[in-house]
Amino acid sequence: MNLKEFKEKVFDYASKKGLKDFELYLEVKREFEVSAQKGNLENYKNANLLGASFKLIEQGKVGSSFTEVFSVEAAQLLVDEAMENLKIIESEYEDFLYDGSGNYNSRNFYRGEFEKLSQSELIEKVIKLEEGLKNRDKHITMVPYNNLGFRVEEIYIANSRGLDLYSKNDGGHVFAMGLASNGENPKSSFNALVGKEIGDLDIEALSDRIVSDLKVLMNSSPVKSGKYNVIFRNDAFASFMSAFSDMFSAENVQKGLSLLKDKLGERIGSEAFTFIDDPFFESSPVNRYFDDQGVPTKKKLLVEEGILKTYLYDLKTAKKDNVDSTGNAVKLWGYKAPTGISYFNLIIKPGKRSFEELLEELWDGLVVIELDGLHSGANSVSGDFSLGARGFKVERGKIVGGIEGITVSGNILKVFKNIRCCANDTAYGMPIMSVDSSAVFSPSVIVDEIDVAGI
Amino acid sequence: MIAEHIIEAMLVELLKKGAEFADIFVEERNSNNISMTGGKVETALSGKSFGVGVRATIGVRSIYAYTNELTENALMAVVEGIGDILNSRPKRNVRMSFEERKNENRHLFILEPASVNKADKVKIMKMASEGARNVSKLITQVLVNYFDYDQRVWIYNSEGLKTFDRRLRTRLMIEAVATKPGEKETGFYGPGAAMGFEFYNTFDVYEAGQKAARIAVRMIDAEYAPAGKMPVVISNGFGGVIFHEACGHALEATSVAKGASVFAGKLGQKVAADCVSAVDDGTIPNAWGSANIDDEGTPTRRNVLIENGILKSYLVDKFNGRKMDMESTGSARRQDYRYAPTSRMSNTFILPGEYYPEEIIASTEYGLYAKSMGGGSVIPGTGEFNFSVREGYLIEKGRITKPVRGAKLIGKGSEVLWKIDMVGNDLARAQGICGSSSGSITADVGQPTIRVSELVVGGRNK
Repeated sequence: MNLKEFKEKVFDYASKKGLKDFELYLEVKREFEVSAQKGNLENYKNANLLGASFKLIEQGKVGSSFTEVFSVEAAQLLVDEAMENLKIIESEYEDFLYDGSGNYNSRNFYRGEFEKLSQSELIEKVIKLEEGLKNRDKHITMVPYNNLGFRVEEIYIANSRGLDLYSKNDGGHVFAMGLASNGENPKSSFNALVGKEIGDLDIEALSDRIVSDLKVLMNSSPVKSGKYNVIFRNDAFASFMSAFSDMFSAENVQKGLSLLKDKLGERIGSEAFTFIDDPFFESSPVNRYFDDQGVPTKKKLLVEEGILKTYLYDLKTAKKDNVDSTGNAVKLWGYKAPTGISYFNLIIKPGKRSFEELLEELWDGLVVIELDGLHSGANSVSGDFSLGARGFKVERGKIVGGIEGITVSGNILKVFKNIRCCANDTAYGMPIMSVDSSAVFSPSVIVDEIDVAGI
Repeated sequence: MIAEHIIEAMLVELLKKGAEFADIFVEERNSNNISMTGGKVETALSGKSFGVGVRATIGVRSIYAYTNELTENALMAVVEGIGDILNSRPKRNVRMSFEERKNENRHLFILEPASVNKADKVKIMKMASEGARNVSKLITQVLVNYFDYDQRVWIYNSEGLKTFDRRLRTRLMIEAVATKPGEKETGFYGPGAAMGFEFYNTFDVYEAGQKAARIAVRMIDAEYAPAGKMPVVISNGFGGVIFHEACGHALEATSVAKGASVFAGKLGQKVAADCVSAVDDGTIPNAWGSANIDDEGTPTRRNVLIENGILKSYLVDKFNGRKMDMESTGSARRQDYRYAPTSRMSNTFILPGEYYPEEIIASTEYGLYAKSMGGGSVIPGTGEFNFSVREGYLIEKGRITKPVRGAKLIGKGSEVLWKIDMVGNDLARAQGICGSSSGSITADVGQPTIRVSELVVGGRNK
């Protein structure tokens, strides 16, 4: 059965059941990934996934279901399950379907450059990455994790209110971890890049950074416990900020799970802190012109020079606050799950100075280049964090050695306030969740007075 | 289901194309997920997943593809694609036939989740939510998540194996939020099992809600933990996350086979203090991380990992086992058909020692008592691990004196195992979700109360 036929089967059956407000969401995804070990292909993954989810609304309440089977029976089961699920819903939210009437900034995000490459080209490239990185410095013992891949994603949403939308998008990634050793204690460094074309995945730059990091880290020691002024390097700060993005969700604000409640229009950070969600950001593999409820997406400032400008809304939370949806309904866990609220590309506005100038500005302190344990050590409800960290020691504006075995701790609201300045070296950071539906970009930043535990 | 002659044709074709080994994983899964906020059901989702994962290995290469387009043409196209990558000399006269191995089900269940009314599931959630809410006025929000799934897997391989397993999982996750002006703290409790709905007759659900809320209430009044190196007493149950992160991941063949583990080449050597013995046991009836067979079809078993400080075994899957010249330990696992299987933990825990937990605290002059733990992570190549303390207390002069919050514990796996100097007699296990290269899987962690003579505690400076 093709997708069109399946949609008709679902819609016919839903109408026959007397349902008025319903929506079908279809996702077609291709994933390709390769990794190398000791100059050979190690892992190869090529995959096709097709999934459908169904949403039914009655008197503002929502029932949901999903399937990966596309038969007549599956179409009926999809509707029946959603009806069953709807019976137990007690939510106070009043949800509704979007009719597709908005202004869509519709664009083609699919470039097709990755799919033009042959499998062997991609395999050669990842082998070159692994071997090249290992041969670059005699202390590098291995590249245990490396991966090159791309994803092509098609999303189709249709509902009983006339919404009918389709979008296709693609993007790729490369990452590697290098291990280096002087003898006993191995050190690690990780770096990841994303892009719309293979040319965006600069393997040389990625390898350079891993090697130069490892050279410094090989002479590492902990520092004394105390308060330090800290440069969070670009990708580390990007990942770090993603761990607190839930604070900006209107749903968390309305449910009393966010410290940003009642703070709209108020100063929550320093003037150096501007926070943006941009679904059209060009260097990101995540690009959307409608969200997962079919609402047009848009670029928006969450925080402008320290002032909280807006929360992120979907349809139901916007209705409750009597505002428009910001187009941030996202199926965080893939096509199956009901929509939650999330950003697409979270961006911290860069400053004018280079990373080296930031070192000068810091003068004495630490550079944090990697943070460990973000998924458990950063709590977006309390804002507290305590994380393992590694990086560099800075004296008189120069990097003088590596640091390991330390933790950095504090509260995110204090971090917002203590951002002194941002560099101009924006880079991608791995978001802590939903790598497929969102991305984070940040420059390196100086944050004053971070609690450090060491010796 | 997929007709057996198609599966057979796929495997034969893979062997003809030069695969040394090939296997096919067919998975059907029905799942339910209900979430509740403030005592009201917010979302309810259910559905069916169905897909096929196909793997061929040759030398050090593993080639994996999956699809949920289940026509013969689509499946043979997947095989063709893998054949191109194998790039090996074709073989002739390949024959195979399946011999089915039936597995005894050690994880009996009574109430299939599908047969239970959704309203009954909601009742359980409400009970937990009320339990949490009624603990204190400081509790301002309670989130409850219920989920169950019923997974059926059919595993076939080029050695002629055909086998089946059915796995049920049920879990309740409770998060409570305590609030004071400008401050919030959370508490969490999430019991689960490889059981049907009868799981909720095995413990007091109201009390489970109270457990989550009490953590939040104690922590909102707590000072921040001190920063620096100190002795740490880690409570039983979820405290076992320290062994899981500090040691367990580095014993997985995924890292060991390529030498990317600090424990590579150390079998038979002393890697921990005498008082440390640990096992990984996928056979425990109805335990969260158990199954009758692993995701390559090998029966699960009890593997002694460390005995009196000596490294006895790794966790091995078939593919990495061939690289290491070792047999599978029944440890191949994956989240679902979208992931190639690899060696993972199941139910992993430190075995009990001789001390009463009270003795351990009484003999500690100054340090941290980590009563309830959050998650953690590790870099197997360097052994650097971290995990969060959800509920902590200060120990002063052998007594627990006051609650402290916000602590992270960090260290190196190879070092911390030597620093365990007391092991209690109160072994308990707790449920977690472990994320790694083959996706997120159910895993029990466990231990008795233990003491680590020195760890870096990430807290705040006075």
